[in-house]
Amino acid sequence: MLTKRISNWMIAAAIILGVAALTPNNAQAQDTGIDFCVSCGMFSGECDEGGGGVHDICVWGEWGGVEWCISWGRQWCNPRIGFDDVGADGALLRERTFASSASQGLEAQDSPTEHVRDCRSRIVARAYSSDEAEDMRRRTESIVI
Amino acid sequence: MRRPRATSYKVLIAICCTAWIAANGRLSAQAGRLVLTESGRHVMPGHVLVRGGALSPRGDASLFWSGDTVWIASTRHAEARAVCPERVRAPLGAAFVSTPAAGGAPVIEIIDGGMAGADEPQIIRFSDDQCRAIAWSGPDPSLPTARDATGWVSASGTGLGGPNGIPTPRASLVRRDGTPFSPSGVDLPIAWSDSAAISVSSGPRGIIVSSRHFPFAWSAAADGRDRTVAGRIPASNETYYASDPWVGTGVFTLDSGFVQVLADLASDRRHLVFYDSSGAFRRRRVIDVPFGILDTAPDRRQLLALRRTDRVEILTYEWTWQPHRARK
Repeated sequence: MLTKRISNWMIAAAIILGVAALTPNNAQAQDTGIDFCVSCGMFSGECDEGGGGVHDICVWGEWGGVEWCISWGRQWCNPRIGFDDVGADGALLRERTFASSASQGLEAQDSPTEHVRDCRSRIVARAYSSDEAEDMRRRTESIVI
Repeated sequence: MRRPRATSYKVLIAICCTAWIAANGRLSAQAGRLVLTESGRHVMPGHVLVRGGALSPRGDASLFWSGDTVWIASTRHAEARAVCPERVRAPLGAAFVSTPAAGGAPVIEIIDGGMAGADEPQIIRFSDDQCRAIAWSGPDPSLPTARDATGWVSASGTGLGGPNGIPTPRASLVRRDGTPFSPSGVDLPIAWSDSAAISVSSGPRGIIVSSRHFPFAWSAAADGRDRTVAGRIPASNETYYASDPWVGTGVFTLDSGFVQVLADLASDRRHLVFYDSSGAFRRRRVIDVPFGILDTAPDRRQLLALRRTDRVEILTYEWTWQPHRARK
């Protein structure tokens, strides 16, 4: 009797363990979607001059019964090149170029470092209210020189 | 008895002339003021930083670009759409090469500098709804560039030339194959020969090279010929412009004369400067709005401009000439 009870428990435990083994480790994450792509979190790039922040995009799905994950990550580093420029509206811009490394593909790691022009911040910047903006539009609807 | 009749003839002739001028809008620039009237607008998000723009040959579309995207805006569609987004990385210039019959897709060329250290510069050609890239050959693609009917023309500053062996800052214009655009360089009275201090634009009478710094000198060079017209801000304004961070954002051709925008980098103040057809400075208008001119089409009296308010607005203006009011 005891043997049979132990045997039943063992069968039940085996079933549970089996199901657990066959279920992806990220079953719980799968419910929430994006966390399934753990490779994004593992993505790492090297910044020669410091910096951080990983911009991740993870896409996962199921195709023909096979689960797949594509992760893409980019490690932003401190600006390597900085220079000023003037936009066509006459505003002074500061453009910074970041070194970055990118990864594409299933759990892929870094590709060779490339330079990506990404961030441009305006030095002369003002936030206009809608009233101000409308006034600016009105003043330049017609221009007499 | 004859005098009243002669007077009435003169009055009649004057009325007819005035009516004809008003109807045809052919008042000369010297006699009238330039009136820009907004006729079209495409709204973009406020974070878009526009670098340049171009009108289509027919005036029914426009191009404009930022540091990473080129858009086309059509009068037929409310929203602008990106051109070859899968290929464009770092546009340095864009232009309509030709426009087919109504309803057809335009042919567009984009100079793309690519990602520094990763891509080679190339020309991206959009035609028949397809994007093709060919390697850029020629001068440094990051030089100020404009396109005329024949092809791309690059401007670079040099310290060569000048009378009596004295080096004079000079801009040279060359085509992609290295052919000089004009027999001699374009002299610009600037204190340095930095290509970044030069702007170029194209017009029906050639390429205009302008200095971005006081005296904001400019020169219009015609293909295969020497300099034709040149202008600058009068020296008496040096104290005003030199003491503040002012910059010139290009000179553009009108049907009679030229227009230039000067920008105060420390504020929203802009000066719209008008030069007559001989290049002589005539007048300026002050506005306190981030505003710039991107392109003009003198034959249609159409002007493409940019205004930044709570968003970025790509504007089309039509222009007319308004007679001066007689001073009492």
